Amino acid sequence: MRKEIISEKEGIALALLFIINGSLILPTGTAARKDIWISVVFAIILSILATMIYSKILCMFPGKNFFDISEILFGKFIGKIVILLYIWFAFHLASLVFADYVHFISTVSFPGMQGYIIVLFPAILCIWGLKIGIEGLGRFSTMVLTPLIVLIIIVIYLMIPKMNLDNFLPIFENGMPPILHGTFSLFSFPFAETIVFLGIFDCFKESKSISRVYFISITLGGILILLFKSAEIAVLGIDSYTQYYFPAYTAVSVISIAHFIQRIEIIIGLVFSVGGLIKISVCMLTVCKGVQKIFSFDDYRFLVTPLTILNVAFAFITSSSITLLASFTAFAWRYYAFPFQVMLPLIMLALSLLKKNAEKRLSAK
Amino acid sequence: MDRILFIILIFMLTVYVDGIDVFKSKDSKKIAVYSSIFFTAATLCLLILMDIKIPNPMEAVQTFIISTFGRN
Repeated sequence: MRKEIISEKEGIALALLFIINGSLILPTGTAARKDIWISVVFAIILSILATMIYSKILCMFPGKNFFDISEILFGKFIGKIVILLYIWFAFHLASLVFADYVHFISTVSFPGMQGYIIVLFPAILCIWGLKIGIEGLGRFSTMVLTPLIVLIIIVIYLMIPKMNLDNFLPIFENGMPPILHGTFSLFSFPFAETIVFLGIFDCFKESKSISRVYFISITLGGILILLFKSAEIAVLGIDSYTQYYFPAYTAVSVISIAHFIQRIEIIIGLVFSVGGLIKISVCMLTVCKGVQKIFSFDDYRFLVTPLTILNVAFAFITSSSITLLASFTAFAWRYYAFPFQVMLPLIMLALSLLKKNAEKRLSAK
Repeated sequence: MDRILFIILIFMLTVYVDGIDVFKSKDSKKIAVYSSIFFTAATLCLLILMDIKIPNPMEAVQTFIISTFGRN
């Protein structure tokens, strides 16, 4: 099969849309309260360090993805267990985004609409995108990224008249521990979720591109999240911010310029929909490639439809109510994701370094 | 009932459009993997639509995490 290649620009667009999707809409890092902006800054720094580890792992094995590297480092049997764990993480993440889709639309856009109708359209688009492959997803992301960023910046600009900067004061009201909790929360969602790209980032011409793609997307995504979260808190205040399931939607709905420019919260829905589509597609692409590796198939495309339907079913089972989804995302996700986002990459990096050193010593002899 | 018929129709259409190539390939491993994933997915979807309660593994995970680390 022909190997798919994407450019750095397409990789950045994919990763950026992946990062800004849910974190702009959902209330993340709420433990930090008014100091959430400090948590975002800390989370960006931590995430850059984490993605340096991710890209180092891929750069040490040029042209290989996470699944190939797992088998090289852990051997056939344990490698397959590691691949299964990683597939589980990506699969669960995709199901959470599907659930976000259902709850977002059935809560704010079309209240009372049946979940299976809502999920039908993103699922079909996701299957279509995955059948085309990462090249198609990359081109689509590049095409939509600029208009979406411009829209987000316009929305932030229009929120300025409604902002009250007193909502940030006093700074460090509860000391460092809540800020660190917020940082941990923001690190695990959305920044370190980019670990799922390890399964598909074997698609660059040069392996050096991976670190650049990670760095630029984390920095740009982080700045957008920082600006948007700060704007939300400045408009709503922290108490209202933590009360809503989708505070961004509420914050944007207060925009009214001369009673003419108003009701523009649809932009938030647009960012969420497009970003969500990319996030689901990236996660499902990782899942499909993982299953392909486990069973040694020559192509993953025939797996796309059944795995996506299975994912939709899983989303309905695990996130049947918005309360359950919100509490899982707010309290449990960071601890649940930590082994996948930090421990596993660290073990892999240590093993890679040991292997490379052993190879060097052998060749020196 | 109409929801269930709707979903069954979608599954039949999916197999016709998507699965036919897999079955034509006569690769038994591909057919086995495709069929098992597809039938699991279809069964779960039908159970959900019939409002049959399926145990949620993530509730247990969440309870364990919250009882261990607290609601921070």
